[in-house]
Amino acid sequence: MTFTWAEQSRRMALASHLSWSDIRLRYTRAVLGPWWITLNVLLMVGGIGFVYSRLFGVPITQFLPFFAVGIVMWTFFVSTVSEAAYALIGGASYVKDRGVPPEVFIWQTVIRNLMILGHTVPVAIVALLVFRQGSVAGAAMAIPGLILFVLSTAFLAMIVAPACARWRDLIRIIESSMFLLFVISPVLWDLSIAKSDNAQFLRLNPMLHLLEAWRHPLMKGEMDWTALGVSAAVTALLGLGALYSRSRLKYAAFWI
Amino acid sequence: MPNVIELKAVELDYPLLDAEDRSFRKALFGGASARGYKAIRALSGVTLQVESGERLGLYGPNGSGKSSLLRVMAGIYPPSHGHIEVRGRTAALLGASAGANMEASAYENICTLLRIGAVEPTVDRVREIWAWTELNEAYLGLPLRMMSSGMMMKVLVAVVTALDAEILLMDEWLGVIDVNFMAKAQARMDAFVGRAGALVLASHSYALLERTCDRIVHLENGRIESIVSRSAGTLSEEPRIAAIA
Repeated sequence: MTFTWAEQSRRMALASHLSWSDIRLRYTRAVLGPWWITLNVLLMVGGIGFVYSRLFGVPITQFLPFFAVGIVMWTFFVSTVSEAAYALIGGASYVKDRGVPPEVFIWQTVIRNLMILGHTVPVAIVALLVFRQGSVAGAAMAIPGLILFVLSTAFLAMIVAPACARWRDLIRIIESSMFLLFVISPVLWDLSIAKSDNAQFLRLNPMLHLLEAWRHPLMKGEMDWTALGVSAAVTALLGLGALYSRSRLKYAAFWI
Repeated sequence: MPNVIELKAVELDYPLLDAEDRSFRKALFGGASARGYKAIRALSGVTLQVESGERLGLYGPNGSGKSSLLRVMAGIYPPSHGHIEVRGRTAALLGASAGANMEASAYENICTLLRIGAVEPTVDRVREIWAWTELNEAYLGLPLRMMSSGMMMKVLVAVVTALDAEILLMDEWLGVIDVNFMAKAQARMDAFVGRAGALVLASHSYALLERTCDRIVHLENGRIESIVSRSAGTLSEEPRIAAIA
């Protein structure tokens, strides 16, 4: 099928509708509705912020907002990628019986998690305001890095989804590698607290740059050009992978 | 009449993926066995045209290629060889559950299915669809799992025939609908075809296809065995397909 903007926007509209109905269905009986997610994150950020600031000996006014912004974006990343592993399998009957393009279910995963992000970002903003961290200028400087972070996540979802439909053991591999990635990525910790230069090898992790590209300007009020450059390169690479992966989607109906 | 679907020498190799073929670790480290999985020839040498305003039946036993052919027409399976051209939007109702969400309400499902068919779900449109099903109003707000399969099928048929599509593709769905409703369903499909659409319907039941269709394609092992068409009110066999092609 040839690409047309009308068809593409139709697919995106359908994906958004499915995402929204996912969220409505999940929280329809809850009093707070989707704001349960907000409360959840608020409690986690408060709890971990309190405990780990003591553990690391860092003032809570610094650590809690740092952790809040990191965990909110990290959760978006992990949920999107892990759920993408099941996206096509979950949409199987729509794809095989109704002829809905498989791509729709990958966008559904991304858009649903963006909607959830909309409910968790307020926690990060409140944390920044309450502990007087960050600035408007810093937030503006964070925008390019944030865009690259979200794009990388979406592209990775596009790569992961068809691969996991084709090779089912990949789902478990992705899930366990997400935990490993969390351990080696600066969400809970920051390289600045590392006491030795031995920790510098962690800079080889692309996720460190994807995080620092927006978090450094947001928290410190200055650009981290290295991180932004690496992020741009990683995003471009993932974008190419996503394009290839999308071209394989025509075989997805055989795999699900 | 213009052709809305044209297939030329279409072949479909359906990959048979077993547990080993689905293992990424095997694909990476498995060596020779990882390359080249088994495939079944689901369709071979299928040359066929569907005209606008035509009701085409696909007849054959299980595994003869009816569903595969419908899925090729719907653009779900890419043909391995040959050529296919589809002019117009297709609406497909193929499997038994056909993409219904059992936990969501009937109302919500109708809205989603309409959106899949690129139709904006307005309250009036949903009401019209629901009225046609003759089901109790109370079910509209209840999760779909509370309905019987026959009730659900009524809803699905009502929605799919309300779509703004040119080509309607349906597979084995009339079996679960009661006799009285069948006539109504047929009338609704006729109305759909009357709006310059085309219908392709697969079934085990030759009697059903005889009542509904203008032309019946008999499939056997993924090949077209014969095509029977209605002329002057009766169905008669066309010359062998080899002669046409």
